[in-house]
Amino acid sequence: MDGSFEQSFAAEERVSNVFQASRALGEALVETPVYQNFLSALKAINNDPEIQRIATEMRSHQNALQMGINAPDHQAELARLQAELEALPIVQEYRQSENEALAFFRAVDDLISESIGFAFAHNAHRSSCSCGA
Amino acid sequence: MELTPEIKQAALDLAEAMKNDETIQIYLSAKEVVQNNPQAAGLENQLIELYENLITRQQQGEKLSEEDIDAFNSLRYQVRVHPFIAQRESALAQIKPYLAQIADEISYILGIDYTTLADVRCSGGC
Repeated sequence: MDGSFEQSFAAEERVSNVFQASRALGEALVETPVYQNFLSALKAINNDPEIQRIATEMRSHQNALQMGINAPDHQAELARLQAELEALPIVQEYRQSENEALAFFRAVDDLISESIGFAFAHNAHRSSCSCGA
Repeated sequence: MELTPEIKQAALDLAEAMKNDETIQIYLSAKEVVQNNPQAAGLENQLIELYENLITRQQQGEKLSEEDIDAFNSLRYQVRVHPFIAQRESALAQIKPYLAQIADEISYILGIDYTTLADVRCSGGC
């Protein structure tokens, strides 16, 4: 058998192992209660009419701010709506499940990162985050 | 947070597969060169120490002098242009798209971007 073919085949095997391993991890993660709870909470807030109403109002104030119209009033209204949003039990439930999911995924990523010797998720991020990280 | 044995095993299997991957090994080798080079590793450690020292002093209310800032910028430049460190950074930049593809496989199954959930420096909350 041609050596270069063997080398190429071996390289392909290794690559597929990396992708197989990442898919296997994804399949294990997706079944976890912490992730399922997070998905349910996310679905719930996305389908909640009260949240949709507040979000629509917030968008109109954000648009006004972008156009520079009456900024202090719109900022105050945005802060009030944000507080109203955060006070909703459904949003508090979502925040709780989000925090649990973030802690869980960070623990998984810490394990991978410690083992490979560099921060996996941070270096796999496709674009810079809006927070500037 | 405590992880189940199944999750731990899947995470460690992925880490092992990455360590054995030729593309990622290019970066790991470049990283090892820096770690094993006293000059390069020393420069990086000095930079970290100086950075932490400046941040601590600033947090204690001290106004940093121009000399402090110049010393930091000069050391940072030396770190950036050190050939072994530059080689490592270049290797990291080269493997980043590949790492993103690996993470995409996880994200595809989750239905949500894995890196946004898992990157402690950039979470969904920002």
